[in-house]
Amino acid sequence: MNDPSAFRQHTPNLGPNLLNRLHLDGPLLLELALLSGIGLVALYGADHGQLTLVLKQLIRILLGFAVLIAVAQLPPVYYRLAAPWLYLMALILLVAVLAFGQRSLGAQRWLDLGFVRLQPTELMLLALPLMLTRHLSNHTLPPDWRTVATSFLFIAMPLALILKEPDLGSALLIGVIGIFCLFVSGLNWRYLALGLVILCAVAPVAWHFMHQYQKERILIFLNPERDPLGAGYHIIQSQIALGSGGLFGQGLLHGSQTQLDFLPESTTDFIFAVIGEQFGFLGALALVAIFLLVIQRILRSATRMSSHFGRLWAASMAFMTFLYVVVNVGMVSGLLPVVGEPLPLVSFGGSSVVTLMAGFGLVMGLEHHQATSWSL
Amino acid sequence: MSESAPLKNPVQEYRIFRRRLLVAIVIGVALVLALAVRLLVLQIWEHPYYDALALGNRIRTLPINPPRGILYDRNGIVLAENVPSFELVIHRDDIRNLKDTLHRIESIVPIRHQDLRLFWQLVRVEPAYEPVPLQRDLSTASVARLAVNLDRLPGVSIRAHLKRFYPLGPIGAHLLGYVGPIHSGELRRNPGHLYNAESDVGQDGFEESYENLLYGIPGVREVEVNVQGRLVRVVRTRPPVPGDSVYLTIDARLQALAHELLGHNAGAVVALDPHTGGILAMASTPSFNPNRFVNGIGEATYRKLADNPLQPLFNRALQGEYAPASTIKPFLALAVLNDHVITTRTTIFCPGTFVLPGTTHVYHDWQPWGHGITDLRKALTQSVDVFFYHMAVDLGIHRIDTFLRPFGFGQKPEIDLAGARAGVLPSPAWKLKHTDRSWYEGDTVISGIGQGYWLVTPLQMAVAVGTIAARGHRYRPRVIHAVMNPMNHRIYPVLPEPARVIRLDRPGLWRIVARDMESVIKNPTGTAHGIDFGLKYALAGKTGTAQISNHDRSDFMNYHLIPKSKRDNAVFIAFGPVPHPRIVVAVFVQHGVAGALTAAPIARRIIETYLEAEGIPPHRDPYRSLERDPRP
Repeated sequence: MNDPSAFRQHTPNLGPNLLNRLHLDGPLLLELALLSGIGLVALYGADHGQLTLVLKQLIRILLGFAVLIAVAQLPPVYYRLAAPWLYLMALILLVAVLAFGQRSLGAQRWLDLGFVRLQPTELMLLALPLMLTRHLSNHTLPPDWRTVATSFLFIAMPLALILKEPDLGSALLIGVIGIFCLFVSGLNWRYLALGLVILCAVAPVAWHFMHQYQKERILIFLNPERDPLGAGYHIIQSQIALGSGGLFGQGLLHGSQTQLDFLPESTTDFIFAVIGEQFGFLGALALVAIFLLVIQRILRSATRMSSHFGRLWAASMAFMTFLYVVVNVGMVSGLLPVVGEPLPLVSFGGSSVVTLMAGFGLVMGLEHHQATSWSL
Repeated sequence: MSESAPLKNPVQEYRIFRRRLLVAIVIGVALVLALAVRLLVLQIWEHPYYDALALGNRIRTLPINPPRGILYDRNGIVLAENVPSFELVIHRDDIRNLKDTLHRIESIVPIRHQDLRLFWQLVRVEPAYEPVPLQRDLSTASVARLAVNLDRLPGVSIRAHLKRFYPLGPIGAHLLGYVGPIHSGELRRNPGHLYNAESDVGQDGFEESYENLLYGIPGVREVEVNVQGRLVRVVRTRPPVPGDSVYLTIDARLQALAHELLGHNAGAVVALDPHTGGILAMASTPSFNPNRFVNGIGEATYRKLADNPLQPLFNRALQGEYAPASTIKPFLALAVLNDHVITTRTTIFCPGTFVLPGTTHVYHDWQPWGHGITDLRKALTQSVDVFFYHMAVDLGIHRIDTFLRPFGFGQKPEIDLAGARAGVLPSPAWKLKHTDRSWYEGDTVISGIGQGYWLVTPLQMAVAVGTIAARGHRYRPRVIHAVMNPMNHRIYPVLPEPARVIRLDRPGLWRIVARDMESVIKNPTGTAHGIDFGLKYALAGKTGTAQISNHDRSDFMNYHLIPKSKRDNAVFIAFGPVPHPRIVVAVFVQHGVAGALTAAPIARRIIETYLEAEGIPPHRDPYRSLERDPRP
């Protein structure tokens, strides 16, 4: 396939180092462990000092790390080969979820396989960038119009299915990640401008086809006082929680908004408000900073990779992490509408942990397998 | 490599990637900066604002209602008190199956049907975390039975609170008034923010007039609540200040006696101390049970009371306006003596009729054959109408008006209870204003015997007679005697308030009229001689019989044929002991036939009972001699 003599040959030190042998990146692992640790402490504070949720989450995080390590072991060429099949499988599962999925909170997102409840959207979050990464790196850059058109097709199919569930937040996430892949591959600015124009034209039509609760969420975001006890309640209470934290916060297990249950979804989507209330502005900023360190570390790997496949994959994983953080923190602080996306590794919940950890594992694997014969 | 695909250029690809990534990073940094600024504004800049909001979220201020002041009579007998009352309360968010719980409660204590209906109404409107009362006023037996089973009934509790209780029931109900749940209108006015939705407020009588004194100051409990409104902990408590307890001037025994003596008659009794203005008894019949109002009276029960033709809710002592009839004569006697129209020796011949000079209309005496030669004492003793027709005409209506006004006629008594009426002191000005017609001389004639436009309330009459008894000193009538501070139990007496002193040319005139009134009872020809037998004290009195329909009064043999609602009103005023009176009584009995017959015995019993209780020695041995001089 491609010439392994890359533009800049990076030779990892294949010493007796255990991490290197396992194709892992020490600093990134450390940062991820730190994030998970902060998440567990925040969860402890959000759940009134009880350990049940903390222990459950700990198991999920350990599972996430196990997935990361496992993914990193397989030579990346297999992922490249498997990308279309993975994408196809995710697409079929999305169709299946619409056909036989579990209904919860008015949306069909879960697929109950008896032993595990699967959320195919999470799988698609990995499968689509993988597919695009393969597709784009198979052609010359910048992509010509045919490549762009096929890429848009790859994005549009899952997007339509996820919108049908309906899950506006995930759909936006997947769409934006897809466009990001095209963007860093050198998508012509003219295509971008054209897309923007089409988006503006389509927006009113999309508004028309939106579900009532989605419209409501956007209206509430524009004016939370519209319904202070109903849909605006989340935004108002989370802003009160953040605001009452002040500079240093009220301390772990203190803060009335969380401890007296005024803050809804305090263990899941709104856990950032718990951190803001208990650890203040400094605590919240520190958490964001650690996320930025994670992103920085992944981007560093991206720039050190010799193949566009690896670069694009790492960049899209960094972007996905960034997107999660911005959407979640923006939502909790009232800058963005309530879309119900978790704060990865910190919020209580398993799906996003496994998804991201698998993605990070592939990043590590890509970087460390470069010098081997299995490189791309 | 296919032919169509150009060769890949890794250097160029890397360059494209770096450039585009740089753009993405710039946008990303801008977004992160926006987030950081947002957090800065929320957590530092607007921190005080959100801190206050968080506090408001969790802290609720709950009022603690103060115990209301106790009412005592002058001797310390309890007239109104607070007793514990228990209610069954349901906390719905602790109950999985509400119907099942209700069934289980019903198997322990019976639940009234109307309570159950009210409960379901409240369940529909109240939020789920709000406890809803199922049954108020549980009996002690029910409380005991429930308390044993409470651990098997999650979400059910018994709540105790203080309830107003009037031990004497209907006795003095008009005077004391009652408390009831606060109306929404009163709550909206809410002076000083003392009241809340669970407050009871004085609705009538003394309870209403002295609301400010009796209510106290509510305490405050600041509690921390969670999002369901459940109490987490008590932050701060400020206990309530109980209302002041009050001693009333009322003598409960006299009050009960007056109530009992009026019996089934509609009427009123007012007894007061002429030297202080303190009301000793103020009864109005028929009465009602104020305890039924305490928990909020039902619509049906209230309708029944309000629609009763005998008007049990109406306080006749304060608001009933009646013709004073002959009881006005002692006041006219004072007027004519003071203005030198006659002397005590002047006599007038009473032929049984009176005709105004220059007219033909005949005014009759109550005794068709007349009284013959009559002086003032005889005129009062036998209530000679013709004598007073002459007196009224000779005085003229203006002098009657100006002399009688200082006694309080025609004006609202300044009593410390709401709702007292003014009555009517007839005058040409009054007649012109209210009937739009001018005054006739004939109006003056019948004003002389307390008929025509005359109207007085029992209270007014008692105050006016008290002025004669106290020889011109009129005091503001009142029912408050002393106030007791509930914290230090110190008693602060309320001093009598002189309202007016009437000065006559000759102070002896007071005694003369009092003696003449004494002979109304003592003299065998006196109209009230019927109550003299066995009387231990020297009393002064005057009867009055007010016509309310035209019937032949001389045909008294057939009086029983007249329907009760057309029979004359009976009035009697009295004070005693002469010459140093301690008590004044005015008795009005609607359709009581004649003052001497029904009203006078009531007055005698009340005065005798009071004087005996006060330890006043009897003036004479009532069974030895009726002729002996009563005074030493």
